[in-house]
Amino acid sequence: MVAPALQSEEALLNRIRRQQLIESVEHMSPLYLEGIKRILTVSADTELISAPAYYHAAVHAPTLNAFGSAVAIIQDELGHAHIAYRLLRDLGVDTEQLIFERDPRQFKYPYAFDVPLDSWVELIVANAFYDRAGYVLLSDIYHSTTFGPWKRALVKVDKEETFHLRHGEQWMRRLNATPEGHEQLQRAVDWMFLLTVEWFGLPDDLKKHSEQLEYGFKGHTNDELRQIWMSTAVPLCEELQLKVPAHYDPEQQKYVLDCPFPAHFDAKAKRWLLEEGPCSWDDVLKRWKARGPANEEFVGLIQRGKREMLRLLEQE
Amino acid sequence: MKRMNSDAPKSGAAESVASLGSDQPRREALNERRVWHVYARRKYDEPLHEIGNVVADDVELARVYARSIYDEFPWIEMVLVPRDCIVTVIAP
Repeated sequence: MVAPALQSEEALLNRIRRQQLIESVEHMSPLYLEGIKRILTVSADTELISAPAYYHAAVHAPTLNAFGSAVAIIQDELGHAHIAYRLLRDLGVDTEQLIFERDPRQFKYPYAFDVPLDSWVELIVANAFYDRAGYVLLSDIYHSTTFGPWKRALVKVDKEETFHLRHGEQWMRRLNATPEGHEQLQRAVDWMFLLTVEWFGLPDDLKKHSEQLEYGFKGHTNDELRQIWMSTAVPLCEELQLKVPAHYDPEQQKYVLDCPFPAHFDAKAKRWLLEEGPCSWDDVLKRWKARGPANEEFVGLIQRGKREMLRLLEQE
Repeated sequence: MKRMNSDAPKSGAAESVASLGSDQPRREALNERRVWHVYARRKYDEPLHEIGNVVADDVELARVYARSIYDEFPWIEMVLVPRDCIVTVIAP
């Protein structure tokens, strides 16, 4: 790829100060380009992997309508992935390599998607928790990002993510009406709540990529976004009398966790090892880096079709 | 609507240079490369505006991709414009 002519750091910051959006690679500094590629890759990978992850559970849909809604959500997610990879390709990234030839462990989506959703109940809690996390993160980017093409594309994405989390909430309310349904929801919430709290990443005092805020890639810090997520996820669970290890503390005026955090997680058993007490964020990073049980299977589902088609073409 | 054309010829050229030097020509067979900008409107009194883009080597596939990816509203009109046909008059 021919290296595009980039701007100096000063020219870039001047443009941002004049409140002119960054419209293409020609407006970026090398550092901005590297940063926006990193955050777009995380977003694209997250949307993409949610498709096989949700499909794995959608097959347990209890009715045809429910199956249809779940598949419509998957189609939305693929559309969102398409948008983010298109933006990356316009920034000079080889997205064919990125999507189809990358080692599964090099994908940058949150660890939660590596833990398979095995039932309809787990799928709708994922809609209520994971899509809410996506919505919180992408709304923040929509309001704050200085990268014009992404800002405009997110109008569609935000609208659709809202539908996904409402889908999750409505199904949770419906299932919660019976003791058996409530019990199953509680079992899903028990492992999925903390995985979503963890989703927002390192706490602010340990965070590495500070340019995400300076460049206006994001508006809020990780800890603030975690709070925004809890400010609607916790009340939802309280409404349904589902126990979660978090509550609002009026003195600190924020949500606080009532269990060791971060903590070790047994992904196979889908169980938090809270009895072992808190672990370090280094331990968490190690677990994320090693990826979880369904990483290879889900990335494999994405990559398989292209590989098979190329093999067919070879035999012509 | 004109903002992307300045980088389009450059990145297009860069991509074909990359594929010429590639030892995997087959890999490129599935890599569509023509960019189509998608414009749509919801109401008769609103103008067409850009809602996104798709990549497809022929116009029929571009139509299908645009319809299935940008289905967030019940549009009354949707059109495609090949990126390499756009002429920039004022750059952002």
